[in-house]
Amino acid sequence: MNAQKQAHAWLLLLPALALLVTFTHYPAVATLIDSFMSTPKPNRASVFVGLDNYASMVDDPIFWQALHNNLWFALATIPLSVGLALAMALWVNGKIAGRGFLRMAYFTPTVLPMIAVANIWLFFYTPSYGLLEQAGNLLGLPSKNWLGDKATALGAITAVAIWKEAGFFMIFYLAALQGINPSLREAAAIEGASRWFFFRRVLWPLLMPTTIFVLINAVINAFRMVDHVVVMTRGGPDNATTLLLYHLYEVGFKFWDQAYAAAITVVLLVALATVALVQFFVLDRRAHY
Amino acid sequence: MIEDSRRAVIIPPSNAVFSENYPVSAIELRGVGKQWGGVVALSPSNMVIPEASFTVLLGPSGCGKTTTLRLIAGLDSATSGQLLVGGRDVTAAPPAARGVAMVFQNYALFPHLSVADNVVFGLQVRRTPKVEQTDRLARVLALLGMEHLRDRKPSQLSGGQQQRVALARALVAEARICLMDEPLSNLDAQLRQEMRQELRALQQKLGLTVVYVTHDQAEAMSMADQVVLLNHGRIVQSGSPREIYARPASAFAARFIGTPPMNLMALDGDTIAGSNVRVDTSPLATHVGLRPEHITLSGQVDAIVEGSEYLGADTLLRCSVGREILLARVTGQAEYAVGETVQLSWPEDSVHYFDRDGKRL
Repeated sequence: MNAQKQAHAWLLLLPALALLVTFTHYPAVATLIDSFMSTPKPNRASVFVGLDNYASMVDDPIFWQALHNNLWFALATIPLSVGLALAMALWVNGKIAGRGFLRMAYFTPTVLPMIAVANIWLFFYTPSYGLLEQAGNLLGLPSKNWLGDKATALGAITAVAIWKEAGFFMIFYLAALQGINPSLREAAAIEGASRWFFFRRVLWPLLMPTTIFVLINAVINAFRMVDHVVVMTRGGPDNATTLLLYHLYEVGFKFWDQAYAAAITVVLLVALATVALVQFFVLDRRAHY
Repeated sequence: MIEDSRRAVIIPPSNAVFSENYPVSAIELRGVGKQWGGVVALSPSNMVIPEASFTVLLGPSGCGKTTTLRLIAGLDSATSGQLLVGGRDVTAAPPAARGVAMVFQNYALFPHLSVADNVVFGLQVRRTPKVEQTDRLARVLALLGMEHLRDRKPSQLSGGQQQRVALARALVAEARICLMDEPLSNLDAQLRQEMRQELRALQQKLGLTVVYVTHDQAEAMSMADQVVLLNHGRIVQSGSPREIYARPASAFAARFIGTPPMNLMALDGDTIAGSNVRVDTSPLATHVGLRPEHITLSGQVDAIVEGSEYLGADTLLRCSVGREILLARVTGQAEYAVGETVQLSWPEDSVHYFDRDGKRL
């Protein structure tokens, strides 16, 4: 009887388990193992090389450049996209004309595929006839190659990511705001609480669970988003816009150094998992559910 | 005299006169009305709520009682008229400038704050010194017997306790006026009964002006100094509970107040419809009203028992007189079989007459 129940349970779990193991767990473990091996060549099988791959990572200047770029990218996209999302949600949660239209408008970037979005922005940034250039010409500003200049390329890429993400995060904030009892606002109004006081003492704490969720997603996305890099700059100029995942892609599939790519992947995964866990346990304790 | 000074004074908008000799009013509505688009939530109404009185806004749902309360609080703004609090025109003033506290139906407690933080929220907004905050918090928690709950979160409290926290938050503001929107409707019957007495005692002890919204007439009758009865966005009648019970101004008031409600019987000329029971009345009357407790089981009016409901001390007897049905409240021991004929009587002065518009004659 019990054995039959057990069999049933396993059978029900099987489809999901098979998919997860095949595409998530096995690759992760395999990657970890591969990172300690050499890349297999036609004339030489893969052998155990210990920490060699990690050592070459330390000596790889492009890895450090990519990490550096990615940290700046994350540092700008995470707070800005989350902050913008919150601001937009607070705005479209109010009673304003055209609210439905605004909500849709803000959500549109999320619906559009990143490849398409990147091409649109490519046009914005294009020198001599791009949108920014045309606007600049009207104001009499000097011509600027936003994506071609090492100083502005990363910033330009970052702006696209913020634009793309804010609308998505806004939806979560909006849902959370809709779930807050409207008489709380009235109770605060009777006491004479200013909008800022009400936000700081009531809304922000009540939105904390949403903020944690959105932050974890923002961190993961900051290290995961490369579609627009591929379309817009291919990591250039001079690796100015190379993000970790793009570097990983180049190492693995352009230079075909799969063992080294596996090592980078492991570092990336460990870093992301650490950040997520810290966020989860530290912020979670301060959140009210 | 005291009874009189506590009565809400209602004057029809057309001939509104406000002389100097009205009692001190805490709140005064002069032709205050509210429309949502084309829908009239409250037609222009006048109302004077005297200081330190317990005023109940009573009526069925959608009658405009909550709208009236929200207009007084400033949570909605009136589309017509003038609103005075303590003699000051506050029609356009924001809620916080009106000097009122409010208890919400769903309590509106901040779920992430402890009981103590919920209570002192308003004091923090107004930057009351810390020492005074602690002092007032302690006093109000002691008053409501909640010292032991001060560090709990609202989710760790029972409904009754949450209700007390909401009350504490309103009291700690030390506003002279406290508005309450069906504060007891989420409590069970037993607790509601207790809280009624407690609220009333508290109001008298602190000399508060309470404006209390409810749809429960028993609640209104047991707590109020004055009842303002509303229906379809209009004030139907106002006065002390006894007054409204004894002299309902309309058929609606007669049916709404009292359990079981007043018997209303249609007239056929000067007899109860379908019978030969004559009543003494003007030709304008279309209905007579009779409270169930005024009917006695000895007399000349023939009635047939249609059913009975045993309530312990009393029995409610459903009888038919002609085509009309009436309820009589008789002693609990009385036992009558369905179909039995009984003789009823009632004192002449306990009969109420209403015209075809439901107005009292």
